[in-house]
Amino acid sequence: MTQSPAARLPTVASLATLAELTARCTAAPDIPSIAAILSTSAKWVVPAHHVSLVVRDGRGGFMAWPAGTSIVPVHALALALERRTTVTTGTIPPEVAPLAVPGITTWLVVPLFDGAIDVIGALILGARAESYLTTLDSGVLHLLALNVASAVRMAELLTSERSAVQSRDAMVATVVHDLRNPLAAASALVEMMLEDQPTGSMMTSDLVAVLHSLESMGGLAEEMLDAARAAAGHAMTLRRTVGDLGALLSSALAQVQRNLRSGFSLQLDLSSEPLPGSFDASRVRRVFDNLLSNAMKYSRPGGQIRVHSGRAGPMAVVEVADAGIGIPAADLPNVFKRFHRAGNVGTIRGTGLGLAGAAEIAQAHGGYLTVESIEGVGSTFRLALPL
Amino acid sequence: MSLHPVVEGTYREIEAELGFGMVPNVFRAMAVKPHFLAANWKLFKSVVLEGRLPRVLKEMVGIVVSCVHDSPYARDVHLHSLTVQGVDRDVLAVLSRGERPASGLAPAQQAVLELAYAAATKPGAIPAAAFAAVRDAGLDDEEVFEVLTAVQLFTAVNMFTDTAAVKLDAL
Repeated sequence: MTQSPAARLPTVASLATLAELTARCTAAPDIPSIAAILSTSAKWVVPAHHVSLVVRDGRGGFMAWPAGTSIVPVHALALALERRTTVTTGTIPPEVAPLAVPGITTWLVVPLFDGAIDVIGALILGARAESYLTTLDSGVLHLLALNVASAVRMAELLTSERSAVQSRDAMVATVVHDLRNPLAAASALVEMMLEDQPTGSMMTSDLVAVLHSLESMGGLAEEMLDAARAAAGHAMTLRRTVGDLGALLSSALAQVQRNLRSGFSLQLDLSSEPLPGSFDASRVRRVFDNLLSNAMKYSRPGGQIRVHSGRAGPMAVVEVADAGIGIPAADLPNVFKRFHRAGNVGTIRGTGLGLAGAAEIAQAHGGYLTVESIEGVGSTFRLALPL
Repeated sequence: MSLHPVVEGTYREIEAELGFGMVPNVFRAMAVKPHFLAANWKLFKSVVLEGRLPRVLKEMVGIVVSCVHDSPYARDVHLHSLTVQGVDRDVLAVLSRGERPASGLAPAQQAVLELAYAAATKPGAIPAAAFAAVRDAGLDDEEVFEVLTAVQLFTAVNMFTDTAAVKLDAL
């Protein structure tokens, strides 16, 4: 393609748009999505009326997008791959470049390189008039090709990794699902044994401890099952019932008070009014258990835990504040991400699932979970749920 | 005094998603009506941060519209934002004078800015040539709609920031 210096576009303004286009391509989950983004958005960077993406399929052939792109100028493509350079239909006889996109008369084929040598495919640009493509800046074009090639390689790796992760998540979901039945059976058995104990029996406190351990395991299993479902892309299905959030919180606090380690104290500032609403009681209870157990887990001996509940406009708000080790500022943006654990937890055990699950439960209810924390001073978690 | 939960949640979203690392004064000025703030943030997000037109281009539309209305707040905020995003200073200088760049942009971007200028200047009499140019550059119905909604949004923003005398943020 000949290009006079006067016809060349300055690149800098296009680069800002190119960065945005690259970000969209890089975030795409697979190659068809990259092709769809290019098809609609490449025009903001290069003056093209049509864009096709062709990628080697690993079996000696090519895959082309948009779907059914048998109309790509195959000879120009072969030439581009052979010469490893950009070609236009002007450099090959028109009769061997059978094009069938209405109105498109000029094509430009740009090879996509993986590294310096391997050609993994091509970007094919079409325009309604040759003058359109002759305004194209070659610097922008090559940067675009480079970025698309990187996005394609990343999408291939992601597709392969996603397949492995899906298999693992499916296995975790099956195992956890199968764990629930024996746990429920064991809990029922312990409850029956508790009913049979005479008043004041030495066994009672041991059985209560066993029952709480089984309930913890059940909660962890539910947490893992929710995480596996979310990882598989399934939205959380709530089992809502009408109830009082305050009563649910009181029940969680009663259990905490039974298990409160010596040296800890609870300061309660609870709403005197009921907080009625429609909640998934089991999951909201899990959020309370998680916030309260974290407050104890990450507090220093002798620490005070403050719990407040009340109403703020149309929302019920529950705050759990501790004077514990706090969360480093660098970890705060990730505190609700699955498997993330703050850098200062040391040997304190945890899965990194609890807060992520709690935030997802709040969100599924149309509410939110937030945190304010200063490392070494303490953390305040605030749950807000619509009433 | 603690913030209303709706304001707090909206501010958190703005900080996380807008990319300025702060809540601009235009949104802070709306906090007195929490649900008005939330609705306007959702509208802004839908128009500027989502959709198929590049954000950079929609911010340029914001400057074009603000210049037509001689409204400094959105003009200066988006000039700053585009500078940070690496848009050429010469292009921004032309835009800040209320003109559209004759070079330095892909034809599709130039056509969008001309359409935005026409829509902001005389919405009832947009020349057919302005629509023909965006069509020729390859825009479909959805993308043309996005241009017009961006013009509508920034027109409303201009009215709000001018009437409420919103002060420019410390950028």
